Amino acid sequence: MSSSRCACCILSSSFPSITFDDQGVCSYCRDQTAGLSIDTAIERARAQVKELFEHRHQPYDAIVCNSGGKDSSYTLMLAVQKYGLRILSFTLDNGFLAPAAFDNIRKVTDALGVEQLTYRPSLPFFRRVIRATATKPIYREKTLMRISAGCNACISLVNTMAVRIALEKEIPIILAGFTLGQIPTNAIIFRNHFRFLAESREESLARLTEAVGHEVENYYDIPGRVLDRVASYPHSVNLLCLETLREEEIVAKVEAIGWRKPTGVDGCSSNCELNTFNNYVHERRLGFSPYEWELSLLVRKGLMSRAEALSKIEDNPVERLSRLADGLGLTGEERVGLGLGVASSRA
Amino acid sequence: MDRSLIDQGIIDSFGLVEITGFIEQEFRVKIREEDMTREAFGSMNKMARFVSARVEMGT
Ligand SMILES: [Zn+2]
Repeated sequence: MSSSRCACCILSSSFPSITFDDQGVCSYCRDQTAGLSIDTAIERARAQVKELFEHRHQPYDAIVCNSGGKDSSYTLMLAVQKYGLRILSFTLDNGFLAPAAFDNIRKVTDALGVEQLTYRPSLPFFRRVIRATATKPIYREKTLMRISAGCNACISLVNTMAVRIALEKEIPIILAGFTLGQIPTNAIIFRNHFRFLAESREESLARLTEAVGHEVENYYDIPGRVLDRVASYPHSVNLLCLETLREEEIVAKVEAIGWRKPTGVDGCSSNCELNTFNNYVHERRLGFSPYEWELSLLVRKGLMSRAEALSKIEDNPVERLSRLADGLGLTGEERVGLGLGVASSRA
Repeated sequence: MDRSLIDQGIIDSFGLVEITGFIEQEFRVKIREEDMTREAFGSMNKMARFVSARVEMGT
């Protein structure tokens, strides 16, 4: 990629609304007021977490969205060991998780003595969703600053299912393994008011429905009669945002209870093979990596070196794209549109 | 100022979370579950009305 980057972080010149000063430092790095509010937001979230975790619930205190990656594994560990919560671990098997991710889920939940629930949506449906996000504009620019369209579609599905399970089983807290940079600072802890938040998703959901069909509603919506009965919506909490550990320290912690780094995934994901495809589509369409924002924040906070962050976004095993395109069932036309050439073999 | 921030494509669901968090922090008002409606947070003017009503009530 020929675009130039900030001299301090790794944001590239194609990043939305970015400007550079004469030393090549970007406007996001220059805006140092952000740093102060992050610390305030973390302190505030710590106090809220303390209050929220005070009371115990039957049968579960919290549901953990567990992708099998290092971040969700460590979130599970914190929930059980640091906070003493009774947990239901929930995994959405999207059909593209690395086989090693399932070994890790088993090892970590077994080591912590946690119940595990795995849910697998219809694979043809999920493939249609990812194909739609790769070939059509579904989400707004603001959303795509932090995440690729494909990953956003998957994570929205995880969140909807988690809220649905939480409501069914009366679980008051949903824990996810997001780090600062992946989410806004005010979203470390928030009331997951499905109906209120759903209004902001109506437009993108309508576009997804138009592209994929009405089956979308069965996956991304919760029926009105269920929501009508809700007395209290669960809180979503991203516990990892309250910790200040470097990536290698998190890896060491989870390795101590049996987690192993999977092979066959790119530098930015420790669990999902589809990440490589979603990154490729994002960079091709928008000119920057969906991980630039998150990794730049770590670089600014001194939790990762700039060189390490760069090597992560450059570790994109493009040779796997053709096989992933086969797995997604992309048409010849869609492949050509994405610059992937003609199909090697149809899945 | 009366137009919906959502309909204009300005904010997504994290945007709503950000705004409600910001209002709680900056104006020291508690946003209750029943307050979370398009009525209260649909536009800049609606949010301003919500905040001034709450600040007056002293909650
Ligand atoms: Zn920068």
